[in-house]
Amino acid sequence: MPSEIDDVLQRHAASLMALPNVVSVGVGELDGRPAIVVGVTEKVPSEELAPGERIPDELEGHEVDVQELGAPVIELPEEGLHG
Amino acid sequence: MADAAHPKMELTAADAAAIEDARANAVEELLAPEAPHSNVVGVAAGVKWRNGEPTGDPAVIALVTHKVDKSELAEGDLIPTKIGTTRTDVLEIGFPMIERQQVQLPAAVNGAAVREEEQQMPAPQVPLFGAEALARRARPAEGGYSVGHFKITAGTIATCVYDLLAGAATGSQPKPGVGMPQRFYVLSNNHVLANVNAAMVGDPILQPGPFDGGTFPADLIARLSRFIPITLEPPTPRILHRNLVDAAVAEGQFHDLDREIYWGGYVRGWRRRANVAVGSIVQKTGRTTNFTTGRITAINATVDVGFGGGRIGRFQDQIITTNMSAGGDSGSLITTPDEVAVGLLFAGSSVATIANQIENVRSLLRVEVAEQIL
Repeated sequence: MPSEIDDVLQRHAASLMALPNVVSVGVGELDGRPAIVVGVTEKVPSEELAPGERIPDELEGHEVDVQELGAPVIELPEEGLHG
Repeated sequence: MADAAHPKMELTAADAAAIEDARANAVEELLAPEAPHSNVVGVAAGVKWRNGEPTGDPAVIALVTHKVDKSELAEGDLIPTKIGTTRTDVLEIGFPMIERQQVQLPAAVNGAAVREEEQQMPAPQVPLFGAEALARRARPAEGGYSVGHFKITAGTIATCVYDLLAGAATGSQPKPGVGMPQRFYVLSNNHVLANVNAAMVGDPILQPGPFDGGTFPADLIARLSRFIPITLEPPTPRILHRNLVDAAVAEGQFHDLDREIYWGGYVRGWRRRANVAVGSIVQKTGRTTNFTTGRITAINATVDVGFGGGRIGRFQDQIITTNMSAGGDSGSLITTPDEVAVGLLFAGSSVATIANQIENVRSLLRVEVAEQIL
């Protein structure tokens, strides 16, 4: 049974993934409550981003947590060693 | 996969000369015996890598035993992003002494010639196994050991599985079947057993993988049976991707395949995707980082993953954990601490590990991972 936050994520996943530096979106936790987590290659101060490039603080009442995730690559020897 | 002939992997002599001062400064700074940087075991001139690809830009490379989350390092242990005007990169090389020892071993480590040589060696003061003990040949092979398609480097065996039996169900009411399995398989990733869609059914699978000295036919353990194709950009725009798993199975002989996980033990059951929870502790055993634990930080995740050569695959319904893997751990089975299968590890960054839901792996490959749903 999908909970409401899954539906919210579903509605916004594609547009979040289209933002610069965003490599993942998912359902995680923030301060013990379910939250939308957005993984970015690196965090950029929001004043350096155009308004349309910023990740919102909340989506339909759910908090959004931005986490630095780096750049995920498949875990083969060369890949992982340099990734 | 990195191509050995990739021009951007090479540092030209002119570039090496240009960054020589920065490299020498880095040796002073990072390897100073009076103020050692944690885990740094060497410094080299090389090229900067980004997203798993060489950029061609000259860089000073800090060689570390293992990468550590920035947040876990004291300020003085961080590798600066630049030395002078030269970029830095961090290359994880494990413990060089042990690694070199392995490289010098001939491929057929079980051969009599090696045994004779070994008899002349003095007894080692410290065990030679360590960073890559699971890179050796083992029969039967267990989950955690090195494996690979003959054209790749090396990944990890998740566990061993069999075709869904009569009465088994997937979907909304999954259940195990009952009966007599006809075939037994090694489970790992598509990019480990099927070379990212490029392999043919029947291709040889080696244990250990080629990167660890596995050769055909001496180290043949299985032959590729089936894989779930991965959609990549290019050519397909990622917005259209519907990838759920990076998974494949290769059929071997029952007596060569042990579904126990090295260190983890027998897989007691598998967990439905809806019951995989954020915050849970999980563990895995893999070829490169051995036994590790982590915590699930996100589920139902959409993730863009680099497949080398500039290719990206967008995956849905993924599990993200804190970093618990490195290159070579692809294919490891992620389980709960009491050995319930949760995910199939296939990707990672320096701070996170990414895994497919084991329920999706089971239903798409139509293989049984364990006889209970827990």
